[in-house]
Amino acid sequence: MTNSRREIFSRLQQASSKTEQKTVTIKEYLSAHKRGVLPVYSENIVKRFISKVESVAATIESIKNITDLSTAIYKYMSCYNIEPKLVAAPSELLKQVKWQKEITVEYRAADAKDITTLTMAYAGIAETGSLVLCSGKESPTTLNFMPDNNICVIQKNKIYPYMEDTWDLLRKAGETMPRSINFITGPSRTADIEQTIQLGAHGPRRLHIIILESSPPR
Amino acid sequence: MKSKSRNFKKNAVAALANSTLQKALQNAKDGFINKRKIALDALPEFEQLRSNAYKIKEHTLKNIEAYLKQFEQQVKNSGGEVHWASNTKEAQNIIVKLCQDAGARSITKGKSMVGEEVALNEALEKAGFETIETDLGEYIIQLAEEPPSHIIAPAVHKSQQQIADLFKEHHKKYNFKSKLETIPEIVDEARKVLRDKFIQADVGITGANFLIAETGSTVIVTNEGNGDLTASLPKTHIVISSIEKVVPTLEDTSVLLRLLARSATGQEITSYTTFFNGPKRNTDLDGPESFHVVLLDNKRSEMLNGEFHDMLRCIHCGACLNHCPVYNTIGGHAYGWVYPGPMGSVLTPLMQGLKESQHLPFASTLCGRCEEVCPMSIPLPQLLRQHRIQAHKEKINSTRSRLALKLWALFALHPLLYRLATNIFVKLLSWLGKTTGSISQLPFSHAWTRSRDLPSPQGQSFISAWKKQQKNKRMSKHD
Repeated sequence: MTNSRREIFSRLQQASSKTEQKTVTIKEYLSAHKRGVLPVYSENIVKRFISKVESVAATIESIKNITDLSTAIYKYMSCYNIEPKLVAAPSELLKQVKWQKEITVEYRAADAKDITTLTMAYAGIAETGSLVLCSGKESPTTLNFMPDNNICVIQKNKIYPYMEDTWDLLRKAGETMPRSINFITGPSRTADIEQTIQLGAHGPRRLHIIILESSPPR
Repeated sequence: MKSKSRNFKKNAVAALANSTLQKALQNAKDGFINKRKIALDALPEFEQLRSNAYKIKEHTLKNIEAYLKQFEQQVKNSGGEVHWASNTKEAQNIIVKLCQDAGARSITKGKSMVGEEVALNEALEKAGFETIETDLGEYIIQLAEEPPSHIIAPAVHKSQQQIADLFKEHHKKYNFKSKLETIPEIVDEARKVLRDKFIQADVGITGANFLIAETGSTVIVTNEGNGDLTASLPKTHIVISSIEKVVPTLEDTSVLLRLLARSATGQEITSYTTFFNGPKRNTDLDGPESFHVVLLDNKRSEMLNGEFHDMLRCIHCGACLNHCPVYNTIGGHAYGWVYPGPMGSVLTPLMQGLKESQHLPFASTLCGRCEEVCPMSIPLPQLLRQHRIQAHKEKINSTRSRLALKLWALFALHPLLYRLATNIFVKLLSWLGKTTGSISQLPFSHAWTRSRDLPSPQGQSFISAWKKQQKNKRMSKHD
């Protein structure tokens, strides 16, 4: 099939007028990371994040400290009659949580039988009310998509104005791209039957977001 | 899928007589148009984004060779592999081979229009793989053994009742026997049936809305989450896409994403927008072990430098379909191949041959709404006209329409003759309709007058009325 590669590139080459400057221009273009048009908004970013999240049928609450997480989650689960069993992302922060005895927690990737998962967002985007999750050893992707209920913790200081802020964060971290970067905006939905929106197509039926107000100690 | 565009006229007549389809089309049209409008009204930057997007795509197309090479290199760097397919047959062969090499038995698929273009399901099934579409709309039409009728809502032509019937027939084997009465019940049953398929699958195939040169990422946008389960659970993830989907940077992609969801479904962003970069890393707890990207050309490189260049900017949002009076009247199947509506009437002749799909460029009123709503500023009416000109040059269109055009050209090139003829014609028509003010039958115009009357003219042509008015003006000046 390398022949096809050669053929395709030779057709493309014929079609475009080649000059040597181009390679330079492209390198410059790629390294400039120039942002395009950004929709302007004036609200405070946390406020905006909350209102956008609510507009896409997710629920959201804030807690002061990580020590409040167990209570908040237990309350949420009781409220929706969810069995108090959690599969959580093995993140540094979540592993430190002291869970109340009613909740059983396992730290691992998701499997078919898991009803509720707990994840930790890499960032939040106020423009659209999106959570950003990056796959990695502390953040298995299946947790975001397999369960009926997904609870996601986001630190308040990780809410940013635009999607583009994610790109700067990733570059600043200096690591290679994670396998999967998920922008998650509300629970799973479909409108494939008569244009009627129905939540819980293949991914989570419910998405609950918990904003953690204090930055946890390092 | 073999093109049935040749039968366009027959298909269109059948579509008009199909009342279930007509109801579905009306419902869909209102939904899509309103949702898009609400989303755009809330975005004062739309025009700016649109011209931004135009520049990004034009810059990319000008340097497409370099950006594709950069993309390929970055996929390699993240541990994946890029395969190149000149045509649909090659794409089929590459993917069948990849699935065989993976020792696959069962394959899940996310929605991919390029997959439809290369008739991937047929090829995979022929090679003996169980292939399951996982997007609910695609799954429904797979059960019905039909092609998609819309590029973003493949089962938009199906009613709830028809879907319930399909599920009853096909889900017996999974021990689901009850008749489903509501939409939540239908969605839930599909979720249960497909959940097992996701888990059993050896290979997951998704499409890509964008390919990012900077990082080697492939991007999908979904609402159901099926694409992510397809990509993350099996051992092999194959992405099928086409060469014009390449975009330079992550920032450029963000601009296009702002236009895509709004233009398609009226959302600011879909529930899930995912950037894939290669297979799982050593320390990852989940994800596929191998990652392949298959890039299709299929005539696109030939469009690059020609009169259909603008079509390569298309981001497949479907807005031109939703706003097309012809699409909204006959639905997607009448067009006979995988891409319907205005964008399809431009693409199908390029990919399937103008002779095979000669009716499509003429199946447009050239009203211009498609161009008006296109987020990538593609001059669709002009491109359709281009096909018409070509059809005329190649003598593909009917002798009758060619003769009519010749006659028209004769008059249009001779203004005096034209005026004389219109004067006679106008007088004749006004005489014909003098009693009722309208004409109910005309020779050669049966198709037109069958469903409506032609209002009779006032008695003189515009030019003679204008001349008379100018003359009166001059006379009153002299008075």
